[in-house]
Amino acid sequence: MIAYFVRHRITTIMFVLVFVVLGVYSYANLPIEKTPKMDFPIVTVSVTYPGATPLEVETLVVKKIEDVVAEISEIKKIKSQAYESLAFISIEFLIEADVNVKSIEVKDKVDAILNDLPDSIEKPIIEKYDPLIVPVMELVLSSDTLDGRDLYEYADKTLKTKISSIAGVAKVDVYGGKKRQVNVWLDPMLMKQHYISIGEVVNAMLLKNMNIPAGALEKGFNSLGARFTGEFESIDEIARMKLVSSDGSSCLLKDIATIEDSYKKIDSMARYNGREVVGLSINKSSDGNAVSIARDLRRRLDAFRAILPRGVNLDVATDTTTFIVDETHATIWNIFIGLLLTAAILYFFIGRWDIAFIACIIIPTSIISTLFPMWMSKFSINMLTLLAIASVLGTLISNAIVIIENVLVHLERSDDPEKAAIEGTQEVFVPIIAATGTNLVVFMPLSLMSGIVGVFMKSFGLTVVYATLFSLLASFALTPMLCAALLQPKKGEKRGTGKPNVILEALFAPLHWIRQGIDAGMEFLKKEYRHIFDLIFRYPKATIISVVLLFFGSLMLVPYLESDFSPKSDEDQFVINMVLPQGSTIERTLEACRLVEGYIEKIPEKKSYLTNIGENGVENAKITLDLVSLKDRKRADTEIMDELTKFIAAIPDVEVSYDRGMSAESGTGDVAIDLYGIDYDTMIGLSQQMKGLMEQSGYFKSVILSYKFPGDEVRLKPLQEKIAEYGLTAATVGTSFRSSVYGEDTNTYKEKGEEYKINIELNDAYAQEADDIKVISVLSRKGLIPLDELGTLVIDKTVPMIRHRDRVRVIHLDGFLGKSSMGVVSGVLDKRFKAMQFHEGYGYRYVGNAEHMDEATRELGKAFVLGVILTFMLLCALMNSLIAYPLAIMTTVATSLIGIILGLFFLGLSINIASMMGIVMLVGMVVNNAILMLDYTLIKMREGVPVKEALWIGATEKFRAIMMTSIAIILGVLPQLWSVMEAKRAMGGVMTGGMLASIVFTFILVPVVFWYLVRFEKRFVKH
Amino acid sequence: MKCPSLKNLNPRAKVYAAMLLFGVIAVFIRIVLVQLDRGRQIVSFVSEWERYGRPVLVKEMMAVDVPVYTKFTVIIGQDGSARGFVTGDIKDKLAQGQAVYPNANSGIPCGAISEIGQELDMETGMFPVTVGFSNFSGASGSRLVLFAQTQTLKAALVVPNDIVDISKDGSFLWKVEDGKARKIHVKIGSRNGYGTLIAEGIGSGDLVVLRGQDSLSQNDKVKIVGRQAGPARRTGMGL
Repeated sequence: MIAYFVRHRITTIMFVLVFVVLGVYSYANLPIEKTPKMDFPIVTVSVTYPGATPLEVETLVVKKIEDVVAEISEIKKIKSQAYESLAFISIEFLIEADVNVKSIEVKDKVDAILNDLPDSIEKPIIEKYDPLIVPVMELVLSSDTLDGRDLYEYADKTLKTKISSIAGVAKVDVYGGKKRQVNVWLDPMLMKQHYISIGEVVNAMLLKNMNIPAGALEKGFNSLGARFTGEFESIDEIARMKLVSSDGSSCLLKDIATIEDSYKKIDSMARYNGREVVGLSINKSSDGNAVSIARDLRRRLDAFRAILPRGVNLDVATDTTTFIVDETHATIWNIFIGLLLTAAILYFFIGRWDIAFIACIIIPTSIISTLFPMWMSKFSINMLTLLAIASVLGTLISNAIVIIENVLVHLERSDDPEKAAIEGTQEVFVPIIAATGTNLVVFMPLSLMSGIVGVFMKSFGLTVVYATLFSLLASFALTPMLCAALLQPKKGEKRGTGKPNVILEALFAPLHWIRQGIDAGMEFLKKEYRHIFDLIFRYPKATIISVVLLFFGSLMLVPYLESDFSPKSDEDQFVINMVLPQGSTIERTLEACRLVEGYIEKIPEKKSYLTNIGENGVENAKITLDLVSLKDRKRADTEIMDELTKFIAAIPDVEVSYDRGMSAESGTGDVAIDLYGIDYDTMIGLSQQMKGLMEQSGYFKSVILSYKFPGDEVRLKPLQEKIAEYGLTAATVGTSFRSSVYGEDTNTYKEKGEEYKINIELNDAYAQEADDIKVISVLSRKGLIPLDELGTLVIDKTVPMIRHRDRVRVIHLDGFLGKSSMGVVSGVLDKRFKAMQFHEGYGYRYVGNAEHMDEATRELGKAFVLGVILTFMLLCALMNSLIAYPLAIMTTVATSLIGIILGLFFLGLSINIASMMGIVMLVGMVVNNAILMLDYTLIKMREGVPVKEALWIGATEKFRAIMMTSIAIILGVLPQLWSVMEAKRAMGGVMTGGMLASIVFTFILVPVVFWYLVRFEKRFVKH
Repeated sequence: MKCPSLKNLNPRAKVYAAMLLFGVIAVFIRIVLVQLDRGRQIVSFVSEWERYGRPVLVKEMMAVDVPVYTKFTVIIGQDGSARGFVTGDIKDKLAQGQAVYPNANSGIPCGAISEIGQELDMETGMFPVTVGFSNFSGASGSRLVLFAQTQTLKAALVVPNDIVDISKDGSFLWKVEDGKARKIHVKIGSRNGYGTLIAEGIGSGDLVVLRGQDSLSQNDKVKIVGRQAGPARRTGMGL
């Protein structure tokens, strides 16, 4: 086959080009994303229960739904939150579960208990949830001419429709501004005068505002539709609605109320650069391409701006794709740098441009071809696939290096380049298959990993497999063919035949010197190795013991390594999450935001900032601060956070946490803890103690407790006897109370095909204080009765948001680290929490990132073990040997850990998901050097050379090839060490450390171990 | 086996030994650096609070006369005066010539009560009230909620309702003493739209925490970031 490729050059070129062309075609179709696309098996249930306290929401909604959905199979965890007026239940299923089927099952279960849920709840919303979906872009509308209501109307009714038409856009959420609504402000004093209660107003409107189809009148061949149309056609008609009181007198609605075509009470706000705006959050569909949506949107932005009403501005507030595109370009650039470095190393080692040129052909050919199966596998260009390509860069050329190196040896013996190419390639066929095989087998377990981490790993592992397979194809097809075509035997000096080009020589002189330097260096190392080789065989046992000690010594450094699931990086953006005390109004939250905004204005690195108030209740706000690019600023994002912390720490009652980078799950701490127990009051005490200990540890910038100091609320405790005496029911009294204070907005007003809510509630002037409740009256059979006669008004504490985890009440703590990492700090906290002595039934567990880290460690651990076993089995199979050859080679896996730990230790990098992936990947790579060396040793041993001598020949003959391939791999990943992304740096650190260890221990430990094992085999094992 | 002295080692062995020693030293230096990094002081909210104290907004208590208001709705007539109806209990608190205010926080009256009907209006079951305006003009037929003082709490110590922590164990307030936060038990005289009248527990000159109390613990160091002054709010239905 190799001979065929060498002799049929055009066929070979075309054969390889087919994949290159398909790769180029695939590139145009591959979406660019931050992370691989996946269906998260999470289904959420949201139930709005207007006016209900968290305790009511918990008892009447959350518990009932939890109980019923818990019967569904394949549940991993159930998390619930009971807020004021809202229940939120999140059901996470095992990754293998079909989220569409589970979504239907959840819906069926919830539907089945709808009758058991309170009547006043709104229809439960059941949807699939993707935690990775973040808005692609946030647009903001501001105006000097339009007020908040008109601006919202324009955004909601006009701009939203236009943006929704862009391919891939799933939904556009409009927030901030003022949502149009018809407000009916009832005056209790006037209601008393007209003998009308709020219940009568609500009922009268419900009975009047009707549109009922009445069927059709038919005559012969024609039919005439009939309809009752009692719906309000104007605001004036609402105002003129006739009300009849129980004493028979009548009045108009406007006699007792002020009717305004106005807006809904503001419960959310958006501000851009300190100015009030209406925001549009653009979300992509699950198969949408974020980058192309952003590109399309930016292209059409001018067209949208052209049709804006006068005085209205449209700006892009945030664009998550900018970082994705920049990071993609940065990685592609790193790949390019890696390619150049690899080509350069080939030139410097071998001293021939033609060989460097072959590298420049092989690597891009393999990478471009890889895009084709990536597209076929429905992958995208994302952080993981790019990381896979960047990490595998050196290995793509290593096979070609081995072939070229051997072809050159053959070329020195023969004048026929074709013959040299064929024989040279055939001779290294087995070690190349072994090396590639070991690279591939370790990725099989990665593709089999379960859990969410497994889904991510699949795209990483398979991309490496695709690239490695194409490099193998290129190595056996293209490399020998190119060697035959380009390499010529050196036939003496040709210098004297032509005129020397002085300028060219002067230009290339430095390169020549470097090459000479490397040559000298290699010779020096070889010479030194002779001494080391003698030394290790003089003290073989001491050598093994020293390496074992070094191995355990390096393990002792692990506590000094940081450990995180996914380290955060400076992504030119961070979010300031602010929480104000329970019971704060939106005005108070706005006041705090304004203070922070004022300070942000003074930050020189600030690019823009977007403030969202009320996304999760009016006490909550978040400010997304965009910074100028990292290369254009002197301070890191953390330094800016420090400055902000000093300022915000002087604002009373504001709890703040920071989310770094766009990938961060909003508000989730680096160290997240769930405290569980039996008695809630005891849990509150424990949680506050834990918070105190976390704060005192000195590791956290801030610690946020899910339990909030409760605010006050007015409760009307009904007097049942009185209620019965007046011929009322608790439901009537409660509904009147709720309508008066919270409002009643079931009625709608239609205008130009759009529906607007009609909200009926008490005039604000009469709904401010607890005593205002006394003016609310209910119509009874004895006339209008003030509410306070039907119950006792008491002021009590509200119940703050209640959390459940797996149907048990928990209090959640989020710790945001200022230094160190989750793994290290968890250990420190465990020691501190131990002193607290939790009673039986009480305890805590790390959640969030810690759970992901546990899952990843477990799955990657399994993959590592399986990878080691499969590599060992492959080596046994290839060499038909069970002991000496495979075991000696496998020692490099263990010794590479020394390099990995030292690499991470000295470079200050953490153990994280990326570095763990790198460790698994290295299993297949670190063995390659030993394979090269021992393969040649075995050839020599078969020729009758004694073991020690054969080992020396194997080591020295393959010294250059081992150095070249290893250095090529290291140089390929080296640019990652300077990446902005900590995860990439960690991967680079692992690869560099592991490969350096592989070089060192392949020459120091492998020969000694092999020598011992051969002796062992000869003595005890009969083949 | 005798350990060879340094002098007897060949130069290559010395180089290897030096490299090994350098490696070991580098590891120890790195360990020290890691430990220093883990032990370094970071800028955190807690560190700032420990340094400067927890931020609080305070009010210096002063025994002042606190007006208590009631409110009622009137409709402006063609002659510029306004007419409304009040319940019997409100009527008893009003007086002819009494000043009325247009909103909850206005200190300037907009008019005065010109007439209070003493006979029950049979249609509404309430008592008529007429208001004449001196400092306000509104369209005929428009509605207005007016505030009238019904009582004055003499030399009262009044705090906003939301700062009083009422629990089963009693009512509490935070005050600042010697730069430290103290949780004090108070006895409430009355509580309404004007605020909470403190009968016992605080006195004139005490610095009561208005904002920032949620994060306070007993004897926490505090930093006063603002002092509030001014009269109590003019809301409320009266005692």
